[in-house]
Amino acid sequence: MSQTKLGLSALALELGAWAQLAVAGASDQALATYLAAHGGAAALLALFALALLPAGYREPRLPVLLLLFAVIFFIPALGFIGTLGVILLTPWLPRLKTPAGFGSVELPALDPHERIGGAGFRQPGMRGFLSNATAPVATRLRALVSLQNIPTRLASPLLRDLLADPSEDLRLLAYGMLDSREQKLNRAIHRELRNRKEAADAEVAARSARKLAQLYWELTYQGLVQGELLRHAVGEALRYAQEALAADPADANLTLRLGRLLHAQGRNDEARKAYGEALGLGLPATRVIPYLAELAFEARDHDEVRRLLAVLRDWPGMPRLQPVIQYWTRT
Amino acid sequence: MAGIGFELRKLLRKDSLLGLVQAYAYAGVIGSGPWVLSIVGILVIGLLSVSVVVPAFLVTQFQVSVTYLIACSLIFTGPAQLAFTRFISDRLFEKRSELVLSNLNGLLMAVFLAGGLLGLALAFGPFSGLSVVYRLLMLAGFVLLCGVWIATIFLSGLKQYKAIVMLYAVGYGVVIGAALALRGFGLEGLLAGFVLGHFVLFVGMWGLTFYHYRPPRSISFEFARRQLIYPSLMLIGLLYNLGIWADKFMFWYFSDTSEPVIGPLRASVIYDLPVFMAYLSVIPGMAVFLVRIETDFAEYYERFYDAVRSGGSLEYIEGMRNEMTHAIRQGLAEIAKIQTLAVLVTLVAGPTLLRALGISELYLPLMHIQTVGASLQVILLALLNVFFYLDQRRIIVWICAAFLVFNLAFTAITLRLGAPYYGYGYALAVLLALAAGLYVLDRRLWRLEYETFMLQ
Amino acid sequence: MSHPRAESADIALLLEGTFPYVAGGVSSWVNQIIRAFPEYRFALVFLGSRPGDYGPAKYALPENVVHLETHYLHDFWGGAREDVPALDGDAEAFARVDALHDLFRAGADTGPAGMSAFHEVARDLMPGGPLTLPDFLHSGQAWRVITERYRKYCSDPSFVDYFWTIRIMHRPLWQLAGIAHRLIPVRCFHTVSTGYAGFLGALLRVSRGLPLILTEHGIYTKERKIDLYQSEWIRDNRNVFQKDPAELSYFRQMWIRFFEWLGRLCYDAADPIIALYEANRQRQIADGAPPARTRSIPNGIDLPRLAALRAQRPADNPPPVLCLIGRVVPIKDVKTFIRAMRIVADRLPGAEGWIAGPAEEDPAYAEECRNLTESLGLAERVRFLGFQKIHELMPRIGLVVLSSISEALPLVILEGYAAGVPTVSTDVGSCRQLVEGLDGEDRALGTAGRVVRIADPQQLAEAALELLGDRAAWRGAQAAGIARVERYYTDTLMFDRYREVYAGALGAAAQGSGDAWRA
Repeated sequence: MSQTKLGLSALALELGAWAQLAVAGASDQALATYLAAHGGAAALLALFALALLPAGYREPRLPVLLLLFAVIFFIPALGFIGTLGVILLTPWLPRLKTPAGFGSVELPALDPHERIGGAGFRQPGMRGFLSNATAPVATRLRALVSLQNIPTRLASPLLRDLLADPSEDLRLLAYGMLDSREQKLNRAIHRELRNRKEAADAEVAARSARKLAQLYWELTYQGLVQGELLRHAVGEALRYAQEALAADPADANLTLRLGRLLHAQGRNDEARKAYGEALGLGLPATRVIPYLAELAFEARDHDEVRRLLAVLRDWPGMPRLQPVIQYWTRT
Repeated sequence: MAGIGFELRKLLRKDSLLGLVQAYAYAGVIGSGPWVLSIVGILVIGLLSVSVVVPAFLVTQFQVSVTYLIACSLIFTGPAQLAFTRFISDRLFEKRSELVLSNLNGLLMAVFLAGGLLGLALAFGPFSGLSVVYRLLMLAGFVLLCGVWIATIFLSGLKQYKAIVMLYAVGYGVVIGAALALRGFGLEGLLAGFVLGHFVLFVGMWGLTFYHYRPPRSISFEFARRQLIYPSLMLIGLLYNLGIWADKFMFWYFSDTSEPVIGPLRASVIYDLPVFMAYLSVIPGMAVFLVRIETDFAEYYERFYDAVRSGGSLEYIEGMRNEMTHAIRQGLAEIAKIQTLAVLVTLVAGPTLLRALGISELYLPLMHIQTVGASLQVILLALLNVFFYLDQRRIIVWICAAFLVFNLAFTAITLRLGAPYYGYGYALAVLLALAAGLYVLDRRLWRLEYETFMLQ
Repeated sequence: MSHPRAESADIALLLEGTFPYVAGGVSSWVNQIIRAFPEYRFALVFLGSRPGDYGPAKYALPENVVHLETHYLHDFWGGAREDVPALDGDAEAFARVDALHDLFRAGADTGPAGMSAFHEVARDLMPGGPLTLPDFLHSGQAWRVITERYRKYCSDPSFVDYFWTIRIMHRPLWQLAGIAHRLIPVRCFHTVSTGYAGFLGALLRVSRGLPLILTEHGIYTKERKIDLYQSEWIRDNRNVFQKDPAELSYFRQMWIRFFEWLGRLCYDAADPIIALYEANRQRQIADGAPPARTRSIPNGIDLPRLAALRAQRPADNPPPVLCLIGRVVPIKDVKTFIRAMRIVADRLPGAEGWIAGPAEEDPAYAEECRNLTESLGLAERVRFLGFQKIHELMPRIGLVVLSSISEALPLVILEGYAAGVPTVSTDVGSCRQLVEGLDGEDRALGTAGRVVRIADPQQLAEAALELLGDRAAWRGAQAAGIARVERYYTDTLMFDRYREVYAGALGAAAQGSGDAWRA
């Protein structure tokens, strides 16, 4: 094999050079002869070592050869051993893993830039104040801005009222606030519609449908759609809820949602059935019974309302429902 | 040396005396840099060999040869040192770590070839007539030292401080052991020990890099691309190393203060030993400097720029600026304190030490002023480091250039003035460069936010 | 394409983001005016944001445009970073700037003191003055003013955002000063908006002492406010402790105040200040325009050409096509139109909604509109037509619909009337005046369509269904529209009044009445 020959001839040449060195004195001549022989050997060894390199490391050929040659030539004897050691041994060693570790988080520093002057906005009866067109526009603007910090469901009726306000500034700001909230939901809906279209399998599509049902419901719940668009949104939510339920009939939360959507469409019998199923799927009674009671009330079946709400009498939660429960369970 | 702060902080956070001692010891070793370690190594070999079979002049020849090797290899790789450090940290910041090892190999190839050819030229030129084995060992030693400096830079860039310390310990262990074992072969034996030890050191470091990185390419030359390179950093590396060695070379080649030792190499016995002794006194200062600058200062520095980038308030930004200033002030003061202590120790223990080493007490005044100079140099180094943090490369170039010119000029003057003034040139050069640097730093810090925001 | 260049002209039109590079109502109006006065030579100064934002010219330049220059105000981030030297800056000039901003903060009632302070600073700002752009960007004095004002007033903690907001906001002013300095000699200036163009007008007025005419279609400040109210790019970095819930993001307020003051400075320099209709004139006065200089001149259209289209209309029922004519941009609230189409489509089989207007200006918004169409299942019923010729469009539609949240005096309503198409419009700008009439005599002509609330698809849809579903009502509205446009909104009326305006301004320029401005 030429590879072996290469190595052997390099070794022979190098040994010859060493032999010369043993008798060398201090003359330039001797140094030059040694270097010539050593240089030849180094070149051969470099070629030999190159072949031993892992495949990926042989390129770019010339610089790699030059590096090998430099090490072997300028560091006689040791250079060759060292190069082979580094090149051949290290790739086979297990790789050192640096543990990721947990970083410590420092307390946030206190920023001295405090709010300057000006007490916050204090105004009870926001709805009345906002709709009072004779109040100064600047103050009403501040009131309107502070609506940013209350939930959309509560803010959107107020904002909608302001769309007809005589002050254009108020109108525009109210519009901007409503629009940005609606935009967020509509973007999410569109994203999900695309996901559904591109869904590779039924499971992904069902998950998408579930999300869409949620998002359309959210549009109605936040009060962002009105009139027939509300009906449209409820219809879409219903459609997607049914689709998602077809894939996973045991989804209790979605069954409850289905009931509420049917309820919203006035399909009370189907709604009642869905509520019943939701209960059957293990939803806690406290979450379903108020809606069943509502259905019963709409059917003017007051005894049924009483009977249903009696179950909830000792339930401590639901502060907003408490007065209703108390009223219906009076003895 | 960015990044060492993290290690140090980890140690300091232990909040124990042991942690504190560890941190300072660590910082001392890393901070004083490889070349102080090499000086220690040479001195140790010298001390251990002097009394034994080897004739004293051979030991001197060995020490002088090695000193020249260190000085020349440091100056030779000077342009590459800082520029390559910056190259590595930039690439790591860009998360392109695959480039670092192949570029190390590229740089090594360039440095080996250039250094080797330079060495060959010298071997056939000024060194002509010396023993062939000596010349070969000197050649190998020079190439190896260049490789060691580059690999050290590389591993510091990768924050492998522990590994560096370990490898240096092993490498110098081999140097001392082999040199002592081979001292029977005279100068060549000692030198062979030196070469063997550095070979172990270099191969260890080189191997470690392969151990950490499996680059897709074995060798590449991105570091030489114009847009990835900082000429100012190359200049700084060269100027700084030249500045440090300028006065020594002048003493070596001024006939009144020097004598020929081997071939073209001359030495100045009256100057060299005190100088190297003085350098040993900087180790505690270096430790303090690293702990202060790399922990406190670096932390506030990060917060400062964080606040600037991510929307901190002006008051907070200014607060961090003040903390930075405070950290620098404290750091410099602490270095000054510890170095004062070192100077005092030299004053008190100097005579005893010189006697123990068998050196004439006539050298004492020179050693005193050299200790002062070396101590000032620690402070200068700290200052330069602060400027590196602030990325004020232009200022560093000026300070280093001033340092070099001052050192040349003042040393020339003291050589003319005569023996009582020896050493004052160097100390004065450091002092002036330091004063200029402090003045500029003061102005910079005062207007730091202005410059950060408005000069962009 | 090379622009025409001239040594001088009669009237310089200052155009921010409109003619000839952007199609729309204002641009059509500018085109109309230039062509109506062939006896004057016009110089056009177009101010844009970035060159890439505009395609080729949308209008052929009329013969009497002798000079056109284009400038881009936000086109300065390309240059290479170089080392910037520290500068000191002129302490006195920056003190004047500081004082001027104190006056600005004090509010609208600065009176003559504020304006004379502005005139001084404006002169400092001009090339050769002590207030240079490098000083603003890099000097210690500028830094002093910026940091002091940040400390005193900024309620948002993020200094870096404050700093860049200041820079981005003010930087175009120096460019405008340069433009004002280099503009060819003209006899008077006419700006068609306030804002940057209005500020340029004010600078020209102060530096050259020539008359400045201001015609405001919409109210620039108001439109910028709409952008700012809706923009999400303005940051609010206040944390829960620093935040006053009733306060807008400080940077938003800064921008609003900035544009308000650009407007006020322009009002102060302009005479006459022309609005399109009474309500806008009142708004200009409320925003600081001196009442004596204001007047309104409504838009007018080329009646004979459009009236000819009536003959092309189908004789029987109006086509069940609702058409929104306008750029697809948020201010037109195209989404409400699309939502209304959902309702219309349910109730009126065969009804279609067309959106005729370029969609390039805000591609993201156009995309959202298309998405909405899709998610409402209207892909078959709503068509995006892109830019359409009015003459081809009008005969094929049954209603001109305007769902904008803000308008001035929309030409498309008038064009629809002339072509025999009634309108359903939101109650914005002068739309109620156009549909129902302004005063007794006007109102007696009848309603030419319906006016509905903004952002109310239900009401919009019902109004449209009412007109399209009741042939008599539709015919009545058509007749009222035709009568109204013929009586009040022809271009000849408008041209007559502008002839007066130009004659007045050029006359004043000839007498040099403006010399008082040069101090």
